Amino acid sequence: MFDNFDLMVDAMGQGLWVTIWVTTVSFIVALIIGALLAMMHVSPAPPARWVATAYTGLFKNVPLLAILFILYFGFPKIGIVLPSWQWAIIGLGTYTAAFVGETLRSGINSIDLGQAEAARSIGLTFGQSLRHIILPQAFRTVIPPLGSLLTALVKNSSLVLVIGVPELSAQAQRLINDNQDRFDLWAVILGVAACYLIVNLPISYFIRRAERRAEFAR
Amino acid sequence: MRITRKAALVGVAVAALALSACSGEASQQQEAEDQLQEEVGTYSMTQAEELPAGLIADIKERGKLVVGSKYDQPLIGLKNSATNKIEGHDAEIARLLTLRIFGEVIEEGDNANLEFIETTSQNRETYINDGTVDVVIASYSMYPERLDSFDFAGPYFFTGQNVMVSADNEDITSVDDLAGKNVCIAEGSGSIGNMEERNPDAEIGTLKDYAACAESLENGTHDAVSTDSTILYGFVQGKPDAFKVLDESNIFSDEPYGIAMKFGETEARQFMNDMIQESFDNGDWAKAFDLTYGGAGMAMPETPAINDYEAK
Repeated sequence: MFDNFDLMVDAMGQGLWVTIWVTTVSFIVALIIGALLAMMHVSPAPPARWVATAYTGLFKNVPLLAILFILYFGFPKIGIVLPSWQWAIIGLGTYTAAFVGETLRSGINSIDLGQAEAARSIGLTFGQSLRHIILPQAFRTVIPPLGSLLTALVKNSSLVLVIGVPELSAQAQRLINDNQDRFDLWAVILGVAACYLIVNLPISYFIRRAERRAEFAR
Repeated sequence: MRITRKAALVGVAVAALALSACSGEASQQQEAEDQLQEEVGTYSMTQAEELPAGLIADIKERGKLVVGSKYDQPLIGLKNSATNKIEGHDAEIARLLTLRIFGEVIEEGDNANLEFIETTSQNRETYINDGTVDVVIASYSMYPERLDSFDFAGPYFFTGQNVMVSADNEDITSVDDLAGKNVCIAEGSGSIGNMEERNPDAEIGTLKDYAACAESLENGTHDAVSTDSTILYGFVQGKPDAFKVLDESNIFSDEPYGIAMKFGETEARQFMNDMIQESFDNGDWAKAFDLTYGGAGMAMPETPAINDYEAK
């Protein structure tokens, strides 16, 4: 079970590190694009709403795997060549952004209309009232769903192995297929599951803590 | 109504033109292949007088040999989408084996005695062990470590690992030039370990299979693809303007292709070794080469020395 344990830990550690930073950067990208999307969803200007709806519709209906293939194999043919990890972040980020946008939108809509009216009445523009009054409050209500989006993103990140990113699942696959059969299959499988738990369980824990603090602040 | 009917007629005309253009190209290729087949001729391999017990007897009783083959490697194992036939040197070895067991090769219809199943570097071991296939003939190298888990007959072909780059690439002319470059290798392939040993400074990225790697090389995402020279040559043959293989002096590994089967099938293995030796002697191996690698311009190498190792 524990043959070549140090080699296995080394390989999985490298994979885990790649998974963590790809997920983190993708999530930041998703939050930024998602916040923009949410603002467009609730915008008074119809074209903004149409763009947001089209974007969300696209990414909620096309599988992430297809998106990664289109980015990695398709875009170079029209001249855009990037290394796999960049496509991975673009794919994961834009995909998750659609869901972040939906979540933030419902968060915004859950804020009492009175807040928006009060903001207008003290002279803030639509953009300013969103940035300073509405969104900060909306973020607090959306912490639990954002937390589960992050957990989902960690799991989705395993897909980027198909475009050649050496993340955790890719390393596991390499260990399982090792020519010299150096690694025990079950050790690898359990190790991978353990790694994903190591990443996701703390996320759930911190989300719950943040939730409780947000409630208290109200 | 009138507009839509006109549009429909135009649509049909365009579709007919497009289809005829496509099939025109395909039938040209088919003609070239048929001509090559005629030039090479048919095999002289005959049915063996005695069939050993075990795997071979089972195959004879079942009436069909099931072979695991690649479907996406030109010159080695490639499924022709027009004829649904598997073409390539590995497929020809499979046909020779079928001749040896049954005396004839029937690939279609209810009486078929040869069936191909697609195997990849990742699932070939599983398919042997669970009986999905009788043998795997799919650019499978007979590494010494593998002999502890499977029996291998052969080698029936001997090649080595080399590097393929874009046709217009001037920077990479040797394996040492790969330091710091992105090299694509298929997941689960023995070529990964070989490259790590030969040039630890090469950045190895993995994709599902070599077709994906070739695509990635063409796109510019990777700088090189590295695996058996035979596999690389197949991609060059398909797109000579896009790819080129480095000079033969760069070959850095031994890749003896063997027929893989379940561990312990010593008699079957020896039966197949005899078949391979017979094909060397009666000219069938040379015919199989001319039909595949030779047709693509590769110079005929010497026949490999069969490795009849001690059963483990």
